[in-house]
Amino acid sequence: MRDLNALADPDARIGHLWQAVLVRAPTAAEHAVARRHLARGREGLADLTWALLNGSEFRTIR
Amino acid sequence: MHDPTRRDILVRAAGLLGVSLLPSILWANDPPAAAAAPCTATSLILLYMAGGMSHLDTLDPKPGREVQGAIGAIPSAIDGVMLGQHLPNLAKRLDRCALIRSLTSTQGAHEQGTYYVRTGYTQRGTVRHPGAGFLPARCGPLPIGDPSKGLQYASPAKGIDQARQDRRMALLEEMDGIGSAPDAASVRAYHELYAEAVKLMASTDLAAFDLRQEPEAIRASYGEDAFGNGCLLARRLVERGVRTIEVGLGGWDTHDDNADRVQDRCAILDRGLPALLSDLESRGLLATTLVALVSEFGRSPRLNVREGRDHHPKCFSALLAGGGVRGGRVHGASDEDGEAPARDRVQVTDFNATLAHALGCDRTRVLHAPDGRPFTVADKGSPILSLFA
Repeated sequence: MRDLNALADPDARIGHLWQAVLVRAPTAAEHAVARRHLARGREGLADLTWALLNGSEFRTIR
Repeated sequence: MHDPTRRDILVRAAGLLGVSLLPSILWANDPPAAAAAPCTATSLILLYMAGGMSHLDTLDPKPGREVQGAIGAIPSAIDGVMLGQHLPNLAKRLDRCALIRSLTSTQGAHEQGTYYVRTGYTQRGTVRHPGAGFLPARCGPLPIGDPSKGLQYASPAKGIDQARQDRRMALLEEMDGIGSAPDAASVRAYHELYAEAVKLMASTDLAAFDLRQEPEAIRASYGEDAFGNGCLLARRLVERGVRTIEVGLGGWDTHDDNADRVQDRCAILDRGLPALLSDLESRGLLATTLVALVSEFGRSPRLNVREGRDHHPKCFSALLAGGGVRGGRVHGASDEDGEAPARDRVQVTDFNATLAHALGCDRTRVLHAPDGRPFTVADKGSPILSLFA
């Protein structure tokens, strides 16, 4: 999370987050959702991280 | 099959065992046509005495016989019927109860015996019979480790208000919609369970799990041990329409020092069970709530060299109250030493069929396992109809 906060560019943040949790790059659709939530600042980032960790892919595949 | 209502799901999710023994897809909407008596029970509280409860020292004493050992017998509210001496409170309320003293099982080991009582089928290889883990996860039982702590971790994370929780759930749903998790039954099952858990977090039914809402006198009457608390929680869940609740009391596997250990167990049982019966009755819930007490087997009449009793599936006892069961009677009898049923032998499947009958389950409905194997509730057991007359 510290690494994430150090990244200023939203696209770099999103890529880093997806690699950290799902070990893959986000799809275009995911990227769009992520951009929308990152616009809400720290809370948006926290919610996005929460959703990735609680999502079906992380729970059942990773 | 009708769409389950939210209440249905909550109710099933909140059952500790119920779904395993009595899956709700088998509920008859109308009483079975063949019913010989009206089925009045809407809830089942199963008190499971884990380890094999000694029938001679509790529900079927043999006063004056050498096998009786150190624990004596006391008279009860049923004329001529005695109970083990450490159950005085239950003895006073026995006129509300029906005893079965001729129960018999073919399974003499704990796991197999418990499986048989829970499913009505003996374990066979890798076959899973209808029970917990057989039905989809959303029908699975919800275990409560410590009833006094209620349902733990059911409040939103610190600093997360309802609006944000809702936003997170919407985000989660959106991400799962475009994500790459397989559309497998197990993934869907997890998803359903997750959604139910989140719904429960916002449910007013959550209050049912908070025993601190009970008056101190009521809590004390049940005994503030895990079993007493469990019985009290069971009553609170019944009040909210939960179909099936199991409350366990372990420690009955008395291979050593039978008399002291049974006395210790009885002290707990003799608070929780009579308090539960009185409380249900005073609230007008006993007529619609079947309380059933059973164990996987009984214990040997002959004491072993360590003053203990060993496993004895050939003959043991059970107790039923409420739910349309007429109290004040004893069904069946064991022989003079409690060794074997002497009359009106009751198989485990007959016992389960009796519970199913009281609850209005359709025992003729055939349920198919994923591999196509057919099952029915209580296998081919016959209910003890005379208990309801």
